[in-house]
Amino acid sequence: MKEGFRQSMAWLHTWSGLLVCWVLLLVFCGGTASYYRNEITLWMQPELHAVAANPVSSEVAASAAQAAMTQRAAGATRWFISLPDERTQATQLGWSKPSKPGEKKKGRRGNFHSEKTDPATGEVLSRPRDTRGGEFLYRLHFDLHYMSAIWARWIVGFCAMFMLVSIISGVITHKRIFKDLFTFRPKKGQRSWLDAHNVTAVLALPFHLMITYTGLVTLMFLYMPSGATAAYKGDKDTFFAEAFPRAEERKAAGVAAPLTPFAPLVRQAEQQWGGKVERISVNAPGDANAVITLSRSSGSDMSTRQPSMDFDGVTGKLLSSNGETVPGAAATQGVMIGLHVAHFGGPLLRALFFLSGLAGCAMVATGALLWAVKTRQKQAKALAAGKRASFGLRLVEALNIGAIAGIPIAFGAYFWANRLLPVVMEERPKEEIACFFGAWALAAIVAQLRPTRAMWRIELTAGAILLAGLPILNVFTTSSHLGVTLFLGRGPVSVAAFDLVVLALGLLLAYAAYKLKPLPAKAKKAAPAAAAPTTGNTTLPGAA
Amino acid sequence: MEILSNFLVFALCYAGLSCLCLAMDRHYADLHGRGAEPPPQLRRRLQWGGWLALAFALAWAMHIAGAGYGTVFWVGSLTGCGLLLIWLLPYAPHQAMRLARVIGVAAALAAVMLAVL
Repeated sequence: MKEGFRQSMAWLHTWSGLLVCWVLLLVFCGGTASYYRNEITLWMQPELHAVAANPVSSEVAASAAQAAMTQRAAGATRWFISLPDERTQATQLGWSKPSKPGEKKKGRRGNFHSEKTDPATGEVLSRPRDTRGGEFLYRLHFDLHYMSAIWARWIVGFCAMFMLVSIISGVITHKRIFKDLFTFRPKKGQRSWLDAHNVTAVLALPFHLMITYTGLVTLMFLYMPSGATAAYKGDKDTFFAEAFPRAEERKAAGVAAPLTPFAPLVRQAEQQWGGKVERISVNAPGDANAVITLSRSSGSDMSTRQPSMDFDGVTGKLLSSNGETVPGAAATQGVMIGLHVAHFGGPLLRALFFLSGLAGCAMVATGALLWAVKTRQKQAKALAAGKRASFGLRLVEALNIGAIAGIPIAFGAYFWANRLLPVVMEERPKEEIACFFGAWALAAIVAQLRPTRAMWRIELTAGAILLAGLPILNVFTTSSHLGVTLFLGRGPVSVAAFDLVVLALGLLLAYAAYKLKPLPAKAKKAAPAAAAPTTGNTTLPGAA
Repeated sequence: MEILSNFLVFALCYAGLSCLCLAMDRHYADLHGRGAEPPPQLRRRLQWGGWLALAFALAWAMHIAGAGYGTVFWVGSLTGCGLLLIWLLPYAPHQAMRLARVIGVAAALAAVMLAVL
């Protein structure tokens, strides 16, 4: 090795980071938003806000759901009921009917019906506007969009692997990791950017390492199938059945028998678990061999592997309870995925994860900016002599604007589209998503044409207006704006919180734009068209 | 009660980090003028106090939320408090330290209240 170990690590850190930073920023923004994907979905369906303000107990909801299902889903082979919890407010009923003989199969979910109902009465809710809501942002962060999910997962996995390399080489490169732990020196150009990058990286380092590693673990059977493939000779189903065991299924007897009431079973299960029942599924309802399975809500345990209980559908006798002890490796994987998605933990812990996610966005953004600032410094002499910035620098600066300032614009456009597109519309979710990508593409292309300081200012301002404008837009398009949810205290709390968070993020962007006010004439000469803002603030365009 | 419990973790983390921060030459100088260094005795006290506060925060977090959750909660609150402290330091160093003192006292009060109740 010609250079020292630390230098080569610095090289590795720079390039492994730069190569994937823009995709990573998207993944981080989408992932951070996903911590609140249910809340985002609720926000995007104002028709459900009234129901959300009056929650009921799971026993009441289970009884109402059973009554509704008995009435509407007779003859179904399976029932699925998702009870409301703090984060989803409507009861979701679903059932699948056997396909009629001679009928063409309509794909896997062809005979599946689902509807959202009022948890207290079981009545179908007035159909809320069609949207993918937070689910889109969640999918976006590992499936991307407009491409096959498998390809996308490979791309995201590749970026995550580079991220892991970056984190480790970054820690090695960072000589003064403890000495500089609390150091942030604003208004010092490159120095400030480095400080901001270090602070957001080091302080949330446990989170960054965890999220990158567990992110890879969630998809490990895609990335590294060979272990399981070799041991099970390609028989994937057997592998999953042995690694993650489930109860056996009972065949329908063909003899009709009434279903036992859900409410006592729910009470029994909740007493044993000390947690809420989230899902009820019934195999062969109305049959003598019916089985009712209750699953616990995630939230009382760190793992995503939730215990479930099987009851005889007619007598209500407990048949088996599963998943309270899981084999070691499966338990480890469950905890890792649990840590990644943070379904456990109450609102406080989730808020901390969200904050750490924002720190991650800021880390990626400052890292990308730092490269541009440093490279511009290196080319300062040539630039002062009137030469143009190198192709690479121009490209990176333009991509930085397109990603760092562009992603908030895309998020903002998505939420604005949700409110402004006609409520009844063909393929509404698709149009909303088109707005997301349309706005982003516009921002990115314009940035490529003129990657200047003025462009930063314009795009940051646009993002600020879009995000901070959402609470105002709400006043005109919904009846659950901040005036009602916050000042009259009628809730739902999560809708009010959404408005406040986007407002705060919008103001942050506005502050960043304000800091980029045109340079005074003298300074302008010294740094013509400095494409990267040189004032530091830790909480950079983090984006929703 | 729960709010008080959670607050105690945050308060201990913030106070502890502030102590550790103040024990460093650079940040001591931020407050007391260029070139100022903490006297060795004070530095030792700050370091001990800081680490003790963080250790208590971890112990308390584990006590209220179990070992697994508690650790995650503690790490998260370290991140949050650290970001707040570092953000305040360059712009309002004296306020940051005043806040640390107030929060330290509040933590002691909260601990006493939790012990009594």
